[in-house]
Amino acid sequence: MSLQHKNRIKYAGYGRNVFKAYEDAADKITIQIGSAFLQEFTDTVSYLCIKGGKADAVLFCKCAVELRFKNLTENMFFEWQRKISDVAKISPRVCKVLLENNSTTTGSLDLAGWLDWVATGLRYGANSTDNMADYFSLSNQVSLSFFNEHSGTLMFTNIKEQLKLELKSLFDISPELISNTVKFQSAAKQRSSFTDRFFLLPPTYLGSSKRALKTYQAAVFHMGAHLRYGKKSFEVGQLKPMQVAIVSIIEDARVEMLAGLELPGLNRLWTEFHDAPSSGINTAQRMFERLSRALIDPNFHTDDGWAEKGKRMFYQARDSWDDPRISRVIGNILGNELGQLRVQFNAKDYVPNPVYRDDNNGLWAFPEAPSEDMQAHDLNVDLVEARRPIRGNLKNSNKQEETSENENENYGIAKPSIVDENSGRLIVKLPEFDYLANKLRKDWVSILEYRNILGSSKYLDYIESEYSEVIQKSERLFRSLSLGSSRKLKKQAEGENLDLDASVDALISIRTKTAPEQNIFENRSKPSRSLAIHLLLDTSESTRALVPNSSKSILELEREAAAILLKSFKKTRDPFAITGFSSNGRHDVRIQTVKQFDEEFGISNEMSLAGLASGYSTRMGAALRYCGNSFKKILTDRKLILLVTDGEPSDIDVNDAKYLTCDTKRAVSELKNVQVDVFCVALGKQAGNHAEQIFGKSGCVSINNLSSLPAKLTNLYVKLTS
Amino acid sequence: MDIAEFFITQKPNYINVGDETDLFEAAFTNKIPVMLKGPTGCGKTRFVEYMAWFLKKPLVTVSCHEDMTAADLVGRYLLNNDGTFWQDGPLTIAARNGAICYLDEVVEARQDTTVVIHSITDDRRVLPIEKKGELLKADEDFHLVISYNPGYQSVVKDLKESTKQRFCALDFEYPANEVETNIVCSEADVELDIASSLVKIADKSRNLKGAGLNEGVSTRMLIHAAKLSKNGLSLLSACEVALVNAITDDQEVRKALRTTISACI
Repeated sequence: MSLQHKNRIKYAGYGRNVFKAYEDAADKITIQIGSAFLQEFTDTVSYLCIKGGKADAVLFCKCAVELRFKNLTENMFFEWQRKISDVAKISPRVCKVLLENNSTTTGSLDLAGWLDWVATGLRYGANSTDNMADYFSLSNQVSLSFFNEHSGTLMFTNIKEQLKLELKSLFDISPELISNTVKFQSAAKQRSSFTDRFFLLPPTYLGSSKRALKTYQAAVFHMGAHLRYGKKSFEVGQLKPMQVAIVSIIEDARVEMLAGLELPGLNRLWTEFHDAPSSGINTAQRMFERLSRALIDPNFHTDDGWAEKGKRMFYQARDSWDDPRISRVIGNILGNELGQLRVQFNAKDYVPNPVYRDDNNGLWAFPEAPSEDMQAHDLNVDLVEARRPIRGNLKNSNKQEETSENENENYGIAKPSIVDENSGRLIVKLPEFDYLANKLRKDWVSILEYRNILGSSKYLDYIESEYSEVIQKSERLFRSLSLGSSRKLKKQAEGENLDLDASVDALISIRTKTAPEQNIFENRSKPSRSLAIHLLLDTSESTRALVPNSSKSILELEREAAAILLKSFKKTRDPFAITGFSSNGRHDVRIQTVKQFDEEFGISNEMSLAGLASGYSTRMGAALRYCGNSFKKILTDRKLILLVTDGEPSDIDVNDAKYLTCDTKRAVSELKNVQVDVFCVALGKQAGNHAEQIFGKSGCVSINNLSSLPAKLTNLYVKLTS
Repeated sequence: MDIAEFFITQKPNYINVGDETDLFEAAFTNKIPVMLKGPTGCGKTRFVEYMAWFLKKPLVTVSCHEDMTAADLVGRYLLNNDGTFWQDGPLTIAARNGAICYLDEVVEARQDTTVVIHSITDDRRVLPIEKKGELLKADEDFHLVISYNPGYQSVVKDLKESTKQRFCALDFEYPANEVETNIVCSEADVELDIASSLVKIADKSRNLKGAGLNEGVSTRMLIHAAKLSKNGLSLLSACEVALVNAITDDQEVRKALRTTISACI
């Protein structure tokens, strides 16, 4: 070890502990990978001592020794050390949190995965070191979700859609599947839970991803069986907790057996999870596990007379399995017997086993719903709300909620669970591209739909009078345009009529004994126009600015241009949608829907257009992806997003100017891949330069004289689409 | 073209699920054109074949497509060594010879093509062949049948109201489980338990219609799967090939279908 480095730490006054830890680490690592790392290592120890604390420096040294990456090489150590040093420079406190979990994180991830996870954390907490520390702490569900995602653990969110389809297919039900994400519980105690509308599932299940998938399936199918074969909830009445637990076990077995009769594969799936041994200690927990297994596995025999009796009674009642009351009858008898056996039952610690079984709350009508147990989940969804029947909710809902629900259906997106009238409605989470990590982070951006501010109901009349000349001009333009007409095609291999010229030529060939031309028919081409357009208007704060030499703001001109364009849409009969967007950080990309594809433009749309208001920032990529989704049910050959913006992508939580530009570029290319064209109309020279960077020369046009926008937009549209 | 070629000589394997044969016969007797509505692969075409055999009438079938023109139905002038000659189209052949003309998946044809059937489907029962200057009066036994799958076509493809209202319509659905099991058994010559497992799979997967699938698994697909399993393939592989891979490319839906299949067998 270099004496120079050693002396630097020794005589810096950091104390004995720091020096000891430093010396120990430096010696051990030098043996492993040589001494080249020492310079930076010493710098980091020194930096942490000064900026963080001596304890942080000691922790860093220990972590360096205990690095758990597999096949650690010199380069890998350098990369790790460099990243820790980077984080320390951002915040020593965050660095400490990161180091505290170093053993877990470096043990679960490879170096690339670890670097990626750290980079995501830095991005996640870009504006707040508290968020960053939270991310690295692994102490709550959000932070764990990120970590699990990086470490390849199967997350509920990854298979949610699959589970929904499977439930729909097997049981013809479509409950909302929700992950209880807020409060982290010990994995061994996590159990699913259900109401008639919601299935609540843990964010992860332990085990390999294959095993975890099976557990999720077993859990949702089990709850599906309850909904299918269960009737109304059991009344608790005078039942003791132990009896409640036993009746629940019988009921679980009853619905599973009925489902298994119809779908034998499910029986196999569930049976796999039952691994209670045939004999063993007689605690209530173990006895219940034996009973559960005995009931659904006819080949399982146990020394436990009580469980065998339960099994006998259950199978004797086979003909009555479709009657839930047998669960209660058998459960009561077994409960009484167990009481006589003086077996202790601790309701608080009891967990239904195997792991796929639900917490039984859905089976019982507790006097004060939700039960304590349920409250303990501390869900991010209000369960009281969740338990309310659907109709009750709809009754109170306003038009906007209905619209949003329709939209959700259109996009196949989960409906939001919480409705706050003052804030937007979450309609979808979309990915965003991080160019530094070269990674598309999924569910990174939340798209919220906001209630429209309604403007004048005479807005189109005003446009008619204000822009009569422009409108007349554009109408002339449309008259000259051949929209959807077919053309005559000569010399075709097939066709409705003979092409006279070609036929004569062919006959001449025949008479002169040369090979005649085969293509002698005439046909008409199909109507060529098949285009849908989504007009996306930037409504960010900058659009509030007044246009030079005019009393109108940029947004006003955008609105007016859109209103004139409406006329064109009516002429071309192209399906169209109009949306305004702005953003307030990645959790709040704000959408104002003026018109969706599947609705006729009516007075409410007119008022929504007139009421579009400026505010917030411009997260362009997210808005484009959102528009891309809206085309999912549109069957036209060409799909076009026409973006009207006055600036570059920006948002309050992003300091790196390149980040959102790259994301927007990426969004444009993703859309191209799914045959959605994006064309940008940039307002102003500066916006034009940015747009050219993102959309390419042929993908944008810059309008410098903003006052001419209303007149130009329609011309542009015609040019683009004819 | 010899009309004798269009007779169905062997009795098609068709199992009556309701009173559809009676209804069809009544429509035939009264010269009312018939529209068969129902999802793909549920037995519409087989039913027409059966009725043609039952009524002892020739059957001229046309599979409609987007590029089909009126000339493809009525006929056109073609060239030979001596000049041009007229070739009757399938509709004209059927009208001249008193056959059942079956336009399969008629909405696939463009609307301006389908209007050619208007005059022959109302009480005039004539087919103007403009190019030839002929007004063909349909034979007494001529009968027009069209099939129409309202489910999966796009909104832009639909029959004109004026076309629709010329027909009486028979609604076809997938047969009830027991009937469908019998159909699969008899068509693919497989054991009852194989057939009933397949029908169960179909029954469950049809829940995904509109929730990932445009159409449910059809009886035809079940027969394919059954035939493959009869040939030695395991039922799982047969279902994978004949059902899962064929019906969708969506990976999530495929996974859900696989789970459904393994739950059913």
